[in-house]
Amino acid sequence: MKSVIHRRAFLAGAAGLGSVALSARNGFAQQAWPARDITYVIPYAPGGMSDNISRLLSDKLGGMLGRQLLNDYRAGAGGAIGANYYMAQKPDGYSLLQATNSFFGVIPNVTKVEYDPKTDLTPLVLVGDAPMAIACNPAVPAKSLEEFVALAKKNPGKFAYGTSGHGTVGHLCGIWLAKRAGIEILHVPYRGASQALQSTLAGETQLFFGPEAAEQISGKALTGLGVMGSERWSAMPDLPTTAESGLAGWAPRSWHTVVIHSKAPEEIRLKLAKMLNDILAMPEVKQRLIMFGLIPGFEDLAGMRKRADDDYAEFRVLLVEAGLALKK
Amino acid sequence: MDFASLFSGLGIGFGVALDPINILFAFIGCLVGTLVGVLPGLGPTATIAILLPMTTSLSPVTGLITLAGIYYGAQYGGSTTSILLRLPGEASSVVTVLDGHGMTRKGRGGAALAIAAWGSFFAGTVGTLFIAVLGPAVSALVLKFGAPEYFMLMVLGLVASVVLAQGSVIRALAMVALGLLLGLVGTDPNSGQYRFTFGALELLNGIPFVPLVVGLFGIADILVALEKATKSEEEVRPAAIGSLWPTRQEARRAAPAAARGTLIGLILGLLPGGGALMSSFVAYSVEKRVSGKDGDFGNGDPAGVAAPEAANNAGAQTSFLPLLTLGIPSNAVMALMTGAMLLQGIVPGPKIMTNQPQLFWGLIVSMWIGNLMLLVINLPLVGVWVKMLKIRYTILYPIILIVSLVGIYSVDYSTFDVFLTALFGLLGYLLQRWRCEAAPLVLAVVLGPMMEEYFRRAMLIARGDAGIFVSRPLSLGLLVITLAMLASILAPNVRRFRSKAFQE
Repeated sequence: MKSVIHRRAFLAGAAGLGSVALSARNGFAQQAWPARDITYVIPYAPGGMSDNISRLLSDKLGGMLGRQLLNDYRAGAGGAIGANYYMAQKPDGYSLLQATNSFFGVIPNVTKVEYDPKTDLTPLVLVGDAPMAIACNPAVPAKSLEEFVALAKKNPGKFAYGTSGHGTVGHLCGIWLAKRAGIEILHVPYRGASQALQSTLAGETQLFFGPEAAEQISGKALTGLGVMGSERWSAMPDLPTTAESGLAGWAPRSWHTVVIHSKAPEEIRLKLAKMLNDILAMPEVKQRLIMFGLIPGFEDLAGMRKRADDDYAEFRVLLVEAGLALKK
Repeated sequence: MDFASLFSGLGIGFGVALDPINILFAFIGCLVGTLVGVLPGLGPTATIAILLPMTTSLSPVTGLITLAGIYYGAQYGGSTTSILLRLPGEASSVVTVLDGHGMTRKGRGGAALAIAAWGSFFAGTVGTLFIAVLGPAVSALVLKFGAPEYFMLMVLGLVASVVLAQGSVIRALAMVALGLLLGLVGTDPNSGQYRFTFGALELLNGIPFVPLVVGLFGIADILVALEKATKSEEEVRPAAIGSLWPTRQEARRAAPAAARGTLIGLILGLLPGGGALMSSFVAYSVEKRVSGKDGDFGNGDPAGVAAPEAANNAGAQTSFLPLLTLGIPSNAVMALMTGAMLLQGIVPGPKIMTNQPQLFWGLIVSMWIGNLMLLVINLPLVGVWVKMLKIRYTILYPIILIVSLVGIYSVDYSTFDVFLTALFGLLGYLLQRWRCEAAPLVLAVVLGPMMEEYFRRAMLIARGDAGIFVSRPLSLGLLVITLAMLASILAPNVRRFRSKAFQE
């Protein structure tokens, strides 16, 4: 069995390098990367957005590399278990981590983790932004964010927002909105976004933040008040941004990326970033991401680093406010 | 919904579901699901996750039919190990252990499996009709169930779990209390602070369920048997097997119980977040109440197998409704189905029924076909499974141990869970020595955190006013039922009956 794998690895390596003589020579000297299959750590339970993205990407990337990407699910502790597990892998370019900005902005601020988000992990590409739509129960007489804010100012503490838990991006959206708009709204944590969304549909809570509300907004089951940030969402172009509604600057956001050890060899990092960006530029991949409810986009490595570092600093302010941040 | 469109819908559905390819994949799904369900640990969630990528090469309907088959198959397979080996694979089959394994001890294991299969099939049939006829209308009612109602439902469940116990009420209450305490481990739902996790990230989501039940039931049972074997210096004899088919008398006990169980499962299965789980043991408690003195619960009463199994399966059917009509997945398996739909280019939600009638009706009809197949697969297998009991324990026990531990490890690839299983095995052994029953404890561990969550959420929403529990009619109704049940447990004549029943 073992010898078979080795021979196949050798053949695949040789075939992939046949066209470039120079690297072919390297290949014979010390089997060129990737000489074996790559572990792809998914830090959440199967079935969620991260899982869907990983399934989409691993097929394509595996095809390009002539290797398999082996999905390795390590769910738990909001992703912290998966991140720590990933850190325990050798930084040799044979492991990837499917991640969100939580791994840079939230998790290291609230949980003791075995990585430094600034120096240990490198986000390679922007898979897509998950638009944080703001939706409210139609019983609330507000058609826009401004109207809602005015209403909430008259009724402090009367409105509640449902989220998928403490310290999630939805929760931080609520803290941010309350702080920036000067209103008082009640946080009600649920177990998962679908339960929270259901509570807003039923009127148990009045407000919901997240891409999951899109179907309900377009079906008029919920009123769309806007979308967090400064860019409109192409799938729901009628929703104004929070910046347009007078709340300029950074707003809590959610984006998906693929992460590699910063200590992995630089040429592998560059090569993977290029390959992944090529995959993300494919029309059929873009179309799938849009269907998942994401906004596809592009950032280079420096842009990704800036996103990660900005989120660390900005989320920390909100997490301190919520009393959740670890003491440093 | 008018009948003309119902029939045209069912017509479309049968057209899709009777396609030979779909029948083949429904069969494969059910078979795989049954095998997976038999292995403790490796549940439907993990299996569907593993097989999900393969279904993307099939047409969307075929893919979903396969996954749905795995789901039902696993539900059914889980009861096989509960009945024969006292190894519940998931929360809903904890209840089946009580009388299912009781029947096995009496040599009626084959009959128990057959009753479970027929009960599930009956419930599946009714469930499919229910979804087809009432589905869209009923799913809107789900939204009426808010935090206070869920809390009251959980309290009702907890009180009912005391009824599950055969022995003394005091011991059962103690087990419930211990279970509630164990349920405190994890993350505080409202503040996000960690409680009793001792720095173990593995415990942030609370005590994992599969290690708990496999330890308390399966491993503890093996330890007790080993002790008996060493003391008496003779090998523990496998139970006699007897006829594989239910006797007329057993069938007469089981049939009405299955009908009642189905009704309970249909309603509770609609509620996301604990509804389907509650259905099996609410059904069991109801049977125990209905039967009164006629029942022989805990020692292998056929009604105690039929009711929870039917409820379980009816609940599994109706749990599809919130996904298909509201776009809201009601449990982990349904979340995976959402993923499967998205990968196929279908956005689950209110528009599915009109935009994708082929998919909607095809899936519904194939639910029924899947249930029929489970019957076809499982009835002949009953003989095979029961033969397992003929294996000498010196061989069977090590196999059970290894398979269980491998299964547990494969859920999260965590050695922590394996050690936890050993620990709970020890606890389960001690509990058996002290004649305390594990079932109320397990249910309290499951219900405790949910109860806390719903209670605190209700209080948040009501801004601290406990009046919310009595001011809402549904919640008040549940409260009244709970109090009535509590009174009947505490009433002295009932207690006398209980202790008399225990002596038998």
